Amino acid sequence: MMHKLKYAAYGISFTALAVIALLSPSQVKAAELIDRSLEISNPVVSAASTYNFTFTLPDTTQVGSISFLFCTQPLDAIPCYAPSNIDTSNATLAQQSGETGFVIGQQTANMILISRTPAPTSSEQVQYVFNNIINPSTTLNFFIRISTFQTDNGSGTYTDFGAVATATTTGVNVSTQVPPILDFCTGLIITGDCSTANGYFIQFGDFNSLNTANATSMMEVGTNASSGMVITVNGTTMTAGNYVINNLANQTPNTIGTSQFGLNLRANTNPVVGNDPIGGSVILATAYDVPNQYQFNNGDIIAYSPGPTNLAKLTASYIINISKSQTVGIYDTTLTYICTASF
Amino acid sequence: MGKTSAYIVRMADGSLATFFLLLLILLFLPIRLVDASSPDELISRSLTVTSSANGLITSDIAGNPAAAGSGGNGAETGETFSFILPQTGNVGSIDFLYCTTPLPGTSCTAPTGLSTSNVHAVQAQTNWAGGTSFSVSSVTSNEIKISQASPVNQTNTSTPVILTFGGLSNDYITNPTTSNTTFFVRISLYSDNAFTNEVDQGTVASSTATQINLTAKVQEELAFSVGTTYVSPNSPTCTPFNDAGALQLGDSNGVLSASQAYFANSYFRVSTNATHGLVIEYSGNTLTSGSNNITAIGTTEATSTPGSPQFGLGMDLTDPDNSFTYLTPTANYGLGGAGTPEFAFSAASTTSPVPLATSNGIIVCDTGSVRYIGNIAYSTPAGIYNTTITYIAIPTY
Repeated sequence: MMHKLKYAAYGISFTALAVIALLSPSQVKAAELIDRSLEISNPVVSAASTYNFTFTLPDTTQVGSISFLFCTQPLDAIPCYAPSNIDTSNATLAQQSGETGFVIGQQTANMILISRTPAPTSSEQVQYVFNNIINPSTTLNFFIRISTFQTDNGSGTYTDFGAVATATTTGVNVSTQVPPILDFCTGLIITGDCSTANGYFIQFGDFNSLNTANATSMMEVGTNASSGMVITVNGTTMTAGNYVINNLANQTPNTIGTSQFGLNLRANTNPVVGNDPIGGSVILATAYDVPNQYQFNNGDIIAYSPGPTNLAKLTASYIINISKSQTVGIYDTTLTYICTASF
Repeated sequence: MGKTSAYIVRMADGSLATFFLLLLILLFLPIRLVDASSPDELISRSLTVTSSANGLITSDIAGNPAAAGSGGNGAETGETFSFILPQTGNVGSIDFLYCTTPLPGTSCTAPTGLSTSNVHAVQAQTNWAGGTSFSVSSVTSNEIKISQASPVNQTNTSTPVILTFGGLSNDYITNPTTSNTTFFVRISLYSDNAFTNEVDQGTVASSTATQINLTAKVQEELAFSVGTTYVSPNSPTCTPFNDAGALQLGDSNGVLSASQAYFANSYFRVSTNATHGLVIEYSGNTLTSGSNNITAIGTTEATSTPGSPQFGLGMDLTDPDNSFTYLTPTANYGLGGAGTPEFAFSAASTTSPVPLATSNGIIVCDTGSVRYIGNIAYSTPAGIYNTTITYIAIPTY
């Protein structure tokens, strides 16, 4: 009887040892997590960033928890030193796919453990996204050791392991200035930008009371003035000593045989002279915006823009008529266009 | 007295008998020791094995299979016997008996796990008279017997004769299955082809040995740096950039113009042992000044257009400081016309980083030169515009 009891005890002990040997986590051969990567949303030092882990489980061993350990070195065989001022203590699990059902079970300044009721897995790609991880406070390369456990609390020896690397970096701080811009120029002809402005002298030749003398000049304006700009024309009418050719104080059509000096900024048919504005967003003053109607007063606003305008090309068309009583002389004037921008 | 006499007589009889017995032995023994028919000892005997791994081993520590006949395969080994014949005479058959002890004539215990059952042929036989006429006669788990149809007179007593067995995936010897175990092969040569008249013999020894498994870990590596002042990589150091990352875009005063495009470059440098490749992404907003901004050039590559507001970037493959050996720019970021970098930029990269360059595998040390473009229109409000572009390296191991 005693012998039977002894053999039974031996049998039970042997069976127990065998079961322990088979089931002990330490006997599970660790495999390497496959295709593992980490994308962080913001690598700037000390920034709050989103960490997006993806990897493939190499086997179908049940998983109850997964730990993410942030270290300065990747190998599991050496001690883990936390990257300077890394902070995962307030991280949240924002997304999970593949093996799901996890919640954050434990977290410290450099460790997050997600856990669930242990369940078998498929050898599949998984993804876990954590928000609000504070990056290390210095630029460095650092590593996250990922371990899977059969238990739901990270106890025992890990089943599978793999490390991923990432780096905090200095962002490229691009800076520049956009200055207050006012490009304004005049000339007899402007083919491109202001660098192409050319000419300043208009020779009308001999006036007579049977024909209208006409000519054009050009101006170009562009500005980023937020309150826009105003262009005025400044000067006198044509004079020869004390003799004058009358300026058109109001919009007036061309009248041959009448003393007239005026201008507008449109394409005219009487006489055929001038062009409409090209480009930009310049508004012509009403007095100078009607074809075949001319006016000139010293200091008149001829064009403006309520805000910034790209380059606009304006053509000023001048007409001069004289009466038969116009006194002989050499008539001239100098017109000055002034553009005032309000930034 | 009578008892004593009888005892003396019995002792004398016994001693006499013992004496004659010893005399008979002494007379017989010298005759046997010099008997010309006793086997001679093979000279310069050796056994060369292709593997000393134990008979359970067919692969290395990493699981890579070891070919039959190679040093890492103890399950499928080859063996070469070499010895010099001590005398001339016919040899018709040879017996190789594998034992745990060497002495011929003593009982033989087969080494644990050893198997010669898969030996099917003599793979090589050299310096034997009669050429290659030995063939396998029979095998057991620890014995190989070879013979030839007609015994051949062997006259070579100066150079070793060679016999080789196994070493193939379908013809092999399995070593003992315990490491560091000595085993012996007792070799007997017979003048006939029926393993009857033994003429020579000798024993060779060999041993299994524990394999030395060398392991080393190569850790995940990633070295990634960003800067705006170029420094040489100083191969093979792959020196990282280490500046503050400040980049001024514009003329010498950092001022943009509506009539001229301005460019500036920043750099990144990366090395990694990620076997599944790496992606470089950028993230950031366009240039902004308060509520104003310079329009991002768009997610489709475009060329510079002075006078139109544009902010973009692209890999500057024309920059001699750009050294892409492993990385390739992604579409829209550097694949434009030769010598004319194309630009793109996604302001949404702030929340969804955009790939800028990729590799399919490891990167020893690549330097990327990123070229930025700044154009403004007359409608671009004056101000100081800034942005921070961050670069992200994503290796996959």
